[in-house]
Amino acid sequence: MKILVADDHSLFRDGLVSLLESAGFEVVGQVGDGRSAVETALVLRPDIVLLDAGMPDCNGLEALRQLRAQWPEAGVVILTGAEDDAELFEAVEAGARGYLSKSLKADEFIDMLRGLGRGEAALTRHSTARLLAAFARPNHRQGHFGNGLTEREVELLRLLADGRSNKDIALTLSLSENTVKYHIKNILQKLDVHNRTEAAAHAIRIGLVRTNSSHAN
Amino acid sequence: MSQVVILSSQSIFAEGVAARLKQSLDGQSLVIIDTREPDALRRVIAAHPTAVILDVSDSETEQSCSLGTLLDALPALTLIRLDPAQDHVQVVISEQRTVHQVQDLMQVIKAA
Repeated sequence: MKILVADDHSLFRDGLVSLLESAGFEVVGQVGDGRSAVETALVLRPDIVLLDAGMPDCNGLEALRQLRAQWPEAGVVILTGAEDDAELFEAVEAGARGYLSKSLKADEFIDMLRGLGRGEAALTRHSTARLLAAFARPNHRQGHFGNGLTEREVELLRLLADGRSNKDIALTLSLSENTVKYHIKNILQKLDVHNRTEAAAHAIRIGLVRTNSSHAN
Repeated sequence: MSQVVILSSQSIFAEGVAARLKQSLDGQSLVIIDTREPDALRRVIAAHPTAVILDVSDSETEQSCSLGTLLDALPALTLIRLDPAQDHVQVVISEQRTVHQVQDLMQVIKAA
């Protein structure tokens, strides 16, 4: 199985590559950012692209979307330093074949990757349970929340309604500013509004987002 | 032949580093000790390593390894704490001296 590894921490990346090679995988390339991951994957066409969720500029989820847009069959597994439900749902919605924690045991990690070759998903039981719970919500067919907004978009909308800047939102949610802009563009489209002020007002009006004053009332 | 010990609870990172070191270490042998084993610390001490490598992102490893116990048993130890999230290592080099007076202690401090 041919694998491309993308992680901005070279020490971790080096360790990961040697683990994969010692387990018999062929590492066809390794890169340090999301943009290079997309470009390299499109050239090398590996069986699996391992994308670190937390890379600067173009993070793993952004790279996943860009890659799948140009190569819908791409097999992508997101690797994360800290498991997060919103990130998990986003990764699965964007077409990831797996979402794994970097703190996973090495043998379990290798088994998960081998499972991809058998058509399995690379998800732990815990992640699978979280997905099933989200799927069981009555409104899941309209997205995780009303208006088709994902959990991450609602999270971002709350900060936006709180008057936070893109830079501030990016820092709070550990995203790049480009990713924040991407989410805001999607939010505006889904809410059918023209700017962030209208989005925040609309969200408060329909009770999607509660401000401190609406809590007090 | 000097020994290097990697203390790991089989994290992706620590196992990967171990695999790379096995290919590269020259004149040193590498022992990997699983911190989930109940006698892990005793096995580290019994191996008489010159260096012990820990993955700081692996909380099980840090918890299983008492620095005081290690340094008492291995006074000339080099302890290397790897932090994959920051791309850096912390190196703790141990040295044991006997001091009888505060003045002796002052000399140790000045030499640091």
